[in-house]
Amino acid sequence: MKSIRPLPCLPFVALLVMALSTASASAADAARVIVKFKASTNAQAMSAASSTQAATRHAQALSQRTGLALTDGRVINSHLQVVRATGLNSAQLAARLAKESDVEYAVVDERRHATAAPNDPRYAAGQSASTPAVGQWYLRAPTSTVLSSINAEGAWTQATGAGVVVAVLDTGVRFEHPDLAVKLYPGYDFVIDTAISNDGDARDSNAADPGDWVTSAEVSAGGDFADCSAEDSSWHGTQTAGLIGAAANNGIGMAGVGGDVMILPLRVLGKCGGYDSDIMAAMLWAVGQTVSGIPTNTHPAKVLNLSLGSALTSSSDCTAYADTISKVNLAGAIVVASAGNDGLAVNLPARCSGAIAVAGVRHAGTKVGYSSLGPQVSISAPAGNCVVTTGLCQYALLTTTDSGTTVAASSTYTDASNPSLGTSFSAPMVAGTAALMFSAKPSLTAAEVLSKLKSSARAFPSVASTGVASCQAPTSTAQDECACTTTTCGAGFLDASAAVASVATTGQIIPVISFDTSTAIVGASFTLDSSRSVLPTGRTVQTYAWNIVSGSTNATVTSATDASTVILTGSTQGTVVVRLSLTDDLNNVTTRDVSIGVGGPASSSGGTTTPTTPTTTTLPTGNSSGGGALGLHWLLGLTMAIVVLAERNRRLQLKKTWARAARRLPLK
Amino acid sequence: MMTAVAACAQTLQAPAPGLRVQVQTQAEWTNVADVVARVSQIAGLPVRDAGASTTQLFAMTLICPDEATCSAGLRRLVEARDVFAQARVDERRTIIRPPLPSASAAR
Repeated sequence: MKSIRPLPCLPFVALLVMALSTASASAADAARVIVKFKASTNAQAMSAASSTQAATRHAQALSQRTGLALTDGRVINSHLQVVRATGLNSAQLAARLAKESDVEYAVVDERRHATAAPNDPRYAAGQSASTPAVGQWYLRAPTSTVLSSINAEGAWTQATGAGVVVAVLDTGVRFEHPDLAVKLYPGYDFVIDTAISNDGDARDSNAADPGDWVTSAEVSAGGDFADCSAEDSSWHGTQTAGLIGAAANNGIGMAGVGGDVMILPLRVLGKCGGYDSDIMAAMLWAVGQTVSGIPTNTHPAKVLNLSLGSALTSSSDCTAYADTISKVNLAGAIVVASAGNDGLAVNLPARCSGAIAVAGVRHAGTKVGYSSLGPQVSISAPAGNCVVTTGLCQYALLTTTDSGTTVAASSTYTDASNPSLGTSFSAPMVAGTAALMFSAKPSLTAAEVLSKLKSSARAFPSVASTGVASCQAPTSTAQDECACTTTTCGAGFLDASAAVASVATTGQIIPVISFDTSTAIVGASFTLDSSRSVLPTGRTVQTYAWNIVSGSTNATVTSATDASTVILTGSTQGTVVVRLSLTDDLNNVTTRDVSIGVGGPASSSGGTTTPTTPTTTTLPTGNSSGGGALGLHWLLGLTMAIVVLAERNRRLQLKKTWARAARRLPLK
Repeated sequence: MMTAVAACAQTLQAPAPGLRVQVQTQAEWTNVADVVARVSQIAGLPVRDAGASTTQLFAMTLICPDEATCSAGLRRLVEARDVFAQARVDERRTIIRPPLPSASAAR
């Protein structure tokens, strides 16, 4: 007979149980509610010397009547007070106190977080574990080592980007990218020259990027490609669009700077670029002006992003661009343009009057070697920098792209091994920030936006502190890394939070809706969660109201609609738009819409279930509060495994592609 | 044979030669075809891929076999001040090429 010996880990288990018990007790002890007392009661109570005394009297009176051990908390105003208790949880306390005759309402005093970090997995961890940069490092608040990050998180607590359109004048976009699909208007293809359009025709209503690869045979043939180099498709427009408007809080991929902003993709670049005439036509059309032969734009943009240009030549002339930008500004919109990547003078059209030219800075705050510079620069933003010249890029920007080397293959993201680098990606951060500013204050003029961006910019570090020489006025020799000055890199570092704060109305509730796109499939339930909503100090949510604005045939609500979360069930493939209305304690109602793409139904096979869509790049979020359907975790686990394998394959392919490109592409 | 195939591919992919120009008309023109006809007549060259930016700003490619012929066509447009307030080369812009991660400037 075997003797039973005590397990060596038993003491630890005991400790764990004790710790859990303690934690549970602490939670009960911390019952905390906000009580609003009826006016008449308050008037009587206010006969006391101060509101604090009155509040204390309320707590004492409530204790006597309810038999609960109540203690008074902070007095919010003459009607509102925090009340604490022991021996029950906050919800129980709220329910109990709400029954009292002198209480207008009692609600749980929920803890809110000042951060607006989204649940997108690549936001938190989208880079290689072996790089110092973590996820979308450039959107967080600056630190002592990363001086240039733009603090988009702070901006998201003040503005949503809703209702603002950003036109992305670029190579077009990949509409099927899961992080962009619900954020794109149809846009337009302005490339008129059939030699470079690569889609078989001239201008048309399809702004999809067919790829802009150039073969060595085309270069050798001369003509339109004589000055080009052979290269793979760039998916440049998909990359810039992602930085501005990738869907946030959807549980997949990354977050764009602009929150709920919508993207108007305007294709102006084909193989080896595009012509001024097409770019100018697109600029005018973007803001609602008439362009012959093209239907009127029904989604006028407030922000135009131009991550394009060319270095100065003897024939460079800003006359036409300045005139076009002036028309855009008169229409109430702004033009944001990349300074250039040649380390020389600011490129055209960024240098033209009226444009907001954006230079690129390293994580540490110095001008990144390749960035153009000069007095035309308005502001600087991170452009990506690698620190090392071999191995993983240490401070790569991360954004949406496609893995195809010629035509589109599969949706993916750039990262440390396949980095997005360049002022092309600095400009979108300014464009996204401007969109947030417009959403906070729609009446802003173009001049005001530029002025506020500049005045809210963070100062560059002193030259002495950087350890590198000061940037100088541009010459014919490229300047490598240098210490930024206001005459070479603009007013300072873009600070999205400060820029939005300079125009936003304070004290507003910012509803935040989180969900997990991978769970939004036909036949399954998925949850929308508003617990990340941002509440100003002292403000409380009184009521939640969820309703479907459009796409009710694609999903139905299958839970109560007056709680902080709501459950929907997918019916058919398509987009469903859900609106959350929050009413605060001052009876202010704030709404926010979210678009969700419902993917195809799950298909059964051999006892396992896999979704037929909805995305090709889903990663686990760890933040999903969704689910509900039995077997969904199983399904998610399987999806994760498939995606991880697919990701690994794609990365290998991208590494090979990059190695090929590195051999062939000259540094421009 | 491979050489022949490569040569054929190059021939097939070679774009029609030409010079892309942008003209600003003195008056408003609502019909692009009318502007095309006028440009072609004045330049003395055929035209392809015409489009409008506004009712006074148009772009198109002059079809011309060599640089001298193209330049002469553009010069005639520039000189036609009674019709065109401005005529110039329609410059090409590109995506601003990213630097290679291995470049020292990307450090």
